[in-house]
Amino acid sequence: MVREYPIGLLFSVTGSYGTVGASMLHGARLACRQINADPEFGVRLSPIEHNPGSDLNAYAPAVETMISSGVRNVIGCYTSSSRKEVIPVFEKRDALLWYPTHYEGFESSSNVIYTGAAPNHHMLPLVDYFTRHIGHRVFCIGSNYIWAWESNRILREELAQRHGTVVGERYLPVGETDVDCIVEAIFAAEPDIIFNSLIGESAYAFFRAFRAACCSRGIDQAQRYPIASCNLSEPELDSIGPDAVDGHLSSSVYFASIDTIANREFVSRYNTAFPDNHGPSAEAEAAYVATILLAQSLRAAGTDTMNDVKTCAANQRLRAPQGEVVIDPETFHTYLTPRIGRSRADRHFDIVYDAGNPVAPDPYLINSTSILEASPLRPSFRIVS
Amino acid sequence: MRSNRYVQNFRQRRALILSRDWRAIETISAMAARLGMSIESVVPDDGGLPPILDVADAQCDVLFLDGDLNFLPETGQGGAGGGSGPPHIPVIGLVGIEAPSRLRALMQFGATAFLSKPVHSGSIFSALYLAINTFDNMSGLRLSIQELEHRRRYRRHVIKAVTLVMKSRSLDDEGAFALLRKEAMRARLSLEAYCEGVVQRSTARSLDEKGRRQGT
Repeated sequence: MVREYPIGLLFSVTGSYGTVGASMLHGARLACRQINADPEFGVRLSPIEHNPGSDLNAYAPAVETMISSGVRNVIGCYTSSSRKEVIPVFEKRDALLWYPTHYEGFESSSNVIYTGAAPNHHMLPLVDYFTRHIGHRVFCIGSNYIWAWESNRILREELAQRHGTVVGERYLPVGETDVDCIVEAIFAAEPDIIFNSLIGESAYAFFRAFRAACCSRGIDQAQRYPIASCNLSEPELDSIGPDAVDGHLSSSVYFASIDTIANREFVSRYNTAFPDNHGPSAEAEAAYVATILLAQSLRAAGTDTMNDVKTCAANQRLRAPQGEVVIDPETFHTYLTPRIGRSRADRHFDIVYDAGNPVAPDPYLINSTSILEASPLRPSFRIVS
Repeated sequence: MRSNRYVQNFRQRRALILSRDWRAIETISAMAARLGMSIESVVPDDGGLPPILDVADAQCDVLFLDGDLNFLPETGQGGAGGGSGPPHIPVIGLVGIEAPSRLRALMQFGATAFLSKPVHSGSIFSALYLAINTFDNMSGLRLSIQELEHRRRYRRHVIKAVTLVMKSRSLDDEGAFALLRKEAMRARLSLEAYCEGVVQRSTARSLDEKGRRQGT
């Protein structure tokens, strides 16, 4: 008997970070089509879509509407701010959010399954890579909200352990595209590398403006001032535009260029389903994986009520395009395989580092950070005469 | 000297849970495990606090104490095992009834953070962060006060020593003080400890001279 369950797809496909949201929606839709096309699977998904349009205030009402119409499992949210907005609604209404995005960690709501990367999957390998191969003087830029604040805090902690320094830190409001003051500040600080946590249009504007400023000064930006991000994927390279697209580092658990049979098949199906796009992003794969894991959990539970689905979600595993993924029953985060890519002019990534195996999630960084916070840069020892 | 750096990672700490509320125990245990902590759930009897608190260690343990238990210090009871008073470890109070008497009892027991019941797992990390770092700050302040009290008691030696040096070296008070401070630094002693030595040596010399005078 095939049971049909309504599921919510909550992605902002318009607005500041609409490029990524659309890519995530495509990943989730592809998974729904795959599940529904397989009568042997035993479950059919009936997706109900909502587009909050990158407006933070639109998220909670959208979830209320979905749950009122009978939805108990929602896949969605890109920004951490939007996740924080909707969690109280899920907790109040006994529903489950499947959050597929990489995020900054330090959360474990009992109403969320976190299938995206935890900070030990993206931040730590990236810091490890650039301190080994590039340098220790880092300039941090980011969108002014929790993702960038917390990412930069973790970066500072990691750098402190490796005797590195943050030589500058600047934030822009989400959606702001006037980046000239940041570009000037970077030239003044002369870092070895720029760590970018800007999202959406702000990030694209920065990549373009910084490359142009470097060109006008005769500087090879990718060599002298490489930019490293934990949130840069293939569709975003399209949005940056052809002049500034190559040479950027990205830490992610998925790149479309992963050379495995499973991934080639996934990319091919994605491109056939969405020919107007330029291939799947890490977020698209994450939404795809989350949707399949949800379907597997629904099948195992035989119902879509929260507690039963959550119980069955523990230890669910899948041979995903990125490799094997498993939901950790302790943290309800996911085992994923960290990788680092360098962008090419053809808007794909060369993979320069691959962890080789799925890595256990560590959302509170209990296994990777020190017990005490990093020492302040200002020494407490002073010589007085 | 205590570091000003905050504790942010609670792995390898032990959560001692003193409650009869199974829902609270379950939620705290699950979250503590995610934070890399070990868990010791102690269901108390009404006779007093369990002996495990006698051997609790401030650097390793944190106590989740249910305010709804009926042996808290408001009744004048309390005292782990042999009645030695509240344990000197970070305490998080679990608050079922928000009555001032309950809150006061938990604070008197050393609670530096509260968690309302039913316990929400999303609040536990913040409560641990607050409880452990406030406990450490308070311990640091307590040590500073002890040190300052100690030095205050020895202040009279400084005054005496300044007077002695003023007389013996024909210096004004500022000059005498500067000389004593310099000598204290050279001897790697606090000013108070050095001055105590100066006064004791001077007193001993006076007694010797007095003795010699009486002997002649």
